[in-house]
This record gives sequence, C-alpha cells and structure tokens, in this order.
Amino acid sequence: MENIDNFIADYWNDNLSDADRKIFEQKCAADENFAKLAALHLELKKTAIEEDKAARKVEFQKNQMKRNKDRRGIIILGIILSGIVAWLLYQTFKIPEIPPEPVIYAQQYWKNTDKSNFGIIRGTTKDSLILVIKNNYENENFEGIIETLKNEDLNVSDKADLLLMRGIAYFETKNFEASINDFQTYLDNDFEAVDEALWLQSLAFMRIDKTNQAISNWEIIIKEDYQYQEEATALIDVFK
Amino acid sequence: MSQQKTFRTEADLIQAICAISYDSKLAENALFQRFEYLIKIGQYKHQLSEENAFDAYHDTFMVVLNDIRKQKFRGDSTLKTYFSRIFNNKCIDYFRKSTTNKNRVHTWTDDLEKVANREAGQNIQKYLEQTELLNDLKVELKKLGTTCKQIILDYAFGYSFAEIAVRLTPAMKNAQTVKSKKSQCMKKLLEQIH
Repeated sequence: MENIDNFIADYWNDNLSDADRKIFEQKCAADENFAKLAALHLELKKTAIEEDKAARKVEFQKNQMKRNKDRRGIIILGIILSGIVAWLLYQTFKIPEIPPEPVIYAQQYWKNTDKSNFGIIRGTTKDSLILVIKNNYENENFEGIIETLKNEDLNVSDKADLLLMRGIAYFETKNFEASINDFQTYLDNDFEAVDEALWLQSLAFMRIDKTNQAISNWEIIIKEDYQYQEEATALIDVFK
Repeated sequence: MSQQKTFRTEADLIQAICAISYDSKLAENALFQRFEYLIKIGQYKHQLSEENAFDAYHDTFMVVLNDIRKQKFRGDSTLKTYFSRIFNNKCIDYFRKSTTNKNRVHTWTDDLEKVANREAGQNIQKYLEQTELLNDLKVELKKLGTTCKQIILDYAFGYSFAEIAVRLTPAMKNAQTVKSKKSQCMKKLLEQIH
C-alpha cells in the first residue's frame, strides 16, 4: 500500500521516469480501484495547493492592510510635517505687515483736494497783492507766495484767505510746522472756511506723523458735518 | 504562515528552501512575500482582478518553488527575472481565460492533460467528477486531526518524509516516523471515505 501511495504521488509530482509513467497509466486504464486511488491523490494534491493558497491569501491581505495603514500613516505624517515646514517658512520669510503710511495718504489726499474753491483764486480782484499771490499760485511759485506774505499781518478777517494760501504754500514747500501754524491761526480766529482749514491742517499733521492730531481734526469734521467728512471717515477707519 | 525570516541574498533564500530544516518553511514564506508587488502589476498591466492576479501569483510561486526544490532553477537569470517572466505568462493565461469566458471549472484539468493514456485519463476523471468524493475528502481530512492532515497534504504537495518531519509543529523525530504515521493516516482516510 505504501509503495502504491508513493508511486501515485510521484506520478502527480512528475518524479517518475517515462517508463514508470507508462506503467502507471496502464494500471489506471486497467484497474478502476487504482484509478480511484490516483484520483484521490490528485485531489489531495489540489487540496494541499488550495489550502496553501488560502493561507497565503489571508497573510497577503493582512500584510496589505498593514502596508495601507503604514502608507496612510506616512501620508498623514507627511501632511503634518509639510504644514509645520510651511508654517516655519512663513514665519521666517513672511513680509511684515506694513502699517499704513500717513505721508502717502497725506500726499494722495492733498493732491485730490480741490483748492481752486478758495476765494482769492476763484474770484476777480484789482488788489495788487492778491493778484501777485494768485499769479504765483497759478504758476506753482509757492516760495514766491511765502516771500510776498512774509511781512504781512494776516491775522485779520479780510486777509483770512491769504493766511490759508500761505499755509498751503508752506505745505507745498514742505514746511509743515509753519503750515500747521497758519491753519491753526485761521482756526483760532474762527474765520469762515473752518472746514478747509481743519482738513488741510489734518493733512499737514499726517506729513509730520502726528496722526492723533489729524484724527482730532477729522472727528470735528465728522461731528460738525463739514465737507470732507467722507474722506475723514475713511481716514479714521485706516488710522484709528 | 506568519512566521518570517529575512534572507539577505537570493542565494541564501534558495539554499534555505532546499535545506531540510524548519528554515525551509520560513524561506518559502520569504519567497512568496519577496515579489508580492507583482500582484499589483498583474492587476494594472494585465487588467486582472485582484483575485485572478493573486491566483496567477500563487501559481507562479508553486512553479518557482518546485523548480528550486528540484534544482531546475540553475540561476542563469536572477530569481526576480525568473519569477517575473513566469508570472507574466501566468497573467496572460488568466487574462485569456477571463476574456474567453473559459474559467477553470476543475482545478485538476491541467494535470489530467498530462495523462497520455486516454483510458487512464477517463478513469481518473470519472472519480474526480464525483463531487461527493471530493466533499467527503475535505470533511474526512479534518476528522483525521491536524497532524495527520498536514502529513497527508504535505506529502501530496511533494515534500519528502524528511522534509515533513521538520516542517511539523512539533517536529517529528525522523523521516521513518513520518512515513509510518502517514501510512496510518492514509489507511484511516481510505476507510473513512469508502
């Protein structure tokens, strides 16, 4: 029996010589019991292979799940690390937030402020002083305006427009302190164009970085419902 | 199956597979896992389902393992090349089977084709087609107990008695002990089936 078993197993495992294979097959053809045993052995071989396959498949799936889990872990770790690196890079190289620059705003608003509404510029006159100032203004000769009005007493209501004009001229020649003083004199005397004076003075304050004082002017403009309140509100939003 | 050992080189692996020791079992596991990535390649390159790609891979493993054990693999190419080439052909076979709808009905068809004597083939096939016999076989194998089942299946798989002795857990004393045990188990199995 043992020998028969070995003979059959060797046949299915290709371990027989050609002659022995022939003998095996002749025996299968002639002896049904032998053929049945051969069939049983073949089935045993297939069962062995199927069982091996099933066990390896379980192991493969287990390994695959572990690999997927590892891969997921690596991806998550990668995302976290990338986030940290990005944050560090941002912290290292970020452009510092630039605070609003009052000078730039002052320049822009100064440029956009229509100064042609002032009486001496708009109106017609035969007053030689006013004509000189008007001429200098139109020719943007601000030094000329300052020079002309240097010895003039402008602290009187009929020369209030000239006072305002000199404040503008100081501003244009970048003498902001003097400009502020002229506007302040105008305000102290409570001359007519308070709104103009408050507004132009606020811009002069900004040029010398006295933003808080500019804000005080804007708050008055808004409170008193003066012209330029729209601009004042916008600037308060930026600087307050 | 989960026991693992790392084999640094292909030569170490091949040597361990051929050795009659418990390491040969670990070496087989290592061989199987060594090229598992091919399963994914089989899926994408040959458009196989994961199941078919796995079957093709296992078939390849069986061929390569057998060739190593019988020293048919002589190392003319690397094990990787050898394995990949066989796997590629197996994938093509599985792809053809899936596209022509000629799925394998019986797992023993290939072996029967090797039987040259027509009458012998018919006689064997007659018993293989008796599904009760096959169903009984699995049940009866289970009834025999773990050791008997493993000895019978390992033997049918093609392992020698000496190899089976070291593969068993716990290992058996020697080949002769396995041989006697196998006779008893086989006798018992035949009694149960008939």
